[in-house]
Amino acid sequence: MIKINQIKKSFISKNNSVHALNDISFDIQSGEVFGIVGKSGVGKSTLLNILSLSMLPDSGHYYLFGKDVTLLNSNEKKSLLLETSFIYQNFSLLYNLNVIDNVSLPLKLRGIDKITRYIKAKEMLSFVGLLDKANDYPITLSGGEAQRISIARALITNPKLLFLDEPTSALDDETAYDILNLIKKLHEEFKPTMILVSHQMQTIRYLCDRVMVLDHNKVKRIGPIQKHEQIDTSYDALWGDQK
Amino acid sequence: MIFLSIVEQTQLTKAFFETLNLLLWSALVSLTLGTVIGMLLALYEQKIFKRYRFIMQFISIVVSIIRSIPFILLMVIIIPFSFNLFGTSIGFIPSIIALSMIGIATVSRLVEQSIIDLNPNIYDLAYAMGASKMQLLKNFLFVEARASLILAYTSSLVSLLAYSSVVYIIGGGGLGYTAIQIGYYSPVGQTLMWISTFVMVLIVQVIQLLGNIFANYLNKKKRGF
Repeated sequence: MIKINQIKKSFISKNNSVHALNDISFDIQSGEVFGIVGKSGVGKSTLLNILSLSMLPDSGHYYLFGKDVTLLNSNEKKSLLLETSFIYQNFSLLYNLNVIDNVSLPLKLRGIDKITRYIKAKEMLSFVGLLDKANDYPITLSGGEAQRISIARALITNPKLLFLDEPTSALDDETAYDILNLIKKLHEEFKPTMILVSHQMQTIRYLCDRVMVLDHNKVKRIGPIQKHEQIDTSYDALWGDQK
Repeated sequence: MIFLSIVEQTQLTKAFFETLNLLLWSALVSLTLGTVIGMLLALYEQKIFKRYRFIMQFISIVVSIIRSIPFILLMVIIIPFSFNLFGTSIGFIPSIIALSMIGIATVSRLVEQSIIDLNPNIYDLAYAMGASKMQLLKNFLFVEARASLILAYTSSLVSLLAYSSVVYIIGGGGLGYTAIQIGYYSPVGQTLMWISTFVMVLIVQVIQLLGNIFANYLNKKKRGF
């Protein structure tokens, strides 16, 4: 589904070239939950921007659904974007739209009529357990509810690929756990490929099949996660290596 | 009205409708073109329309220049253009041209500011959903900025009303004419001056009140609506 081959990305800052990503290569299989972790400034956000097509690498190749993204024009990229969805840390809801209009917005952009998109939106709201909030406005929602609405909006187009950018970072532990369970449930039901960026080890451990650690803008380690009962917050513990 | 003679009452009524006419037509042109230009300038600020850098910078400079020229001079400067284009240098048409020019410049800067003030994440959200530029404007920016836009329009209408009070200098008439030319300059026109001023204050209050009510209705970002 995704193949990243030796991509590099640099930014110019005060006449100096700063490497954000250096020789990054990895594959993600269809239906997999893939985690990306690393400290601040190692290039996680840049990599997510490239994966979600809002930025191009300086060199290397990115194949999404079998197409080399670096060779696509903006219309071809848009048609690929219609196969993907995004769940954000800050929920990114439109505050002047009520819940059902927020959830059905992606369908509105695809030109689907109001009745059909409201039926679908209600299905999604029912899935996230917030059907009774359909006519409320986002300002009245709690953080957990807002993230559930954001998940319903992401699912309404039945995406093949779902990006999750720190989906539980803005939430308290209990609400975060509920959201993680919901994400797990959506993966079981809709089976999208998921790319999760998080600095929260428990989130990565709970959801991901494989994880990649970025360090100094390079891939430090990549592989399947070992589930452990012990609490160890080091990155190596993800693969079973204890402190 | 009981303090005014029949002649003054007729003059005041005529001036009132002239002011409304000036306001209506100049607002129509200003709000329409000002919104389009303001949106383009705001999108340019967000690195959209990068290809049209020269045109966008040119528009921005023109807007700034028009806003810098004192309105009374702007009216005089456009007289030759009005004469060449419409065959008249005084009256309603040059007044509307002058008011529309300052109105477009004012509205465009206020609209630009309303859009720039939005959370920049909205552009990422629209992009991730595969929205076109028109969809970005219609389904994201207009929706989130709508209350702020209504307040910007309200403020612009109040400014246009203030500007309209001096277009009598180029024969535009209106309440400025009755207040200053007939009222202030006449030894017995003090009452007409005060009533003309009062009517203008009243119009401003009505515009502001309606603007506030409408903006509050559209703004769902506040609790307790």
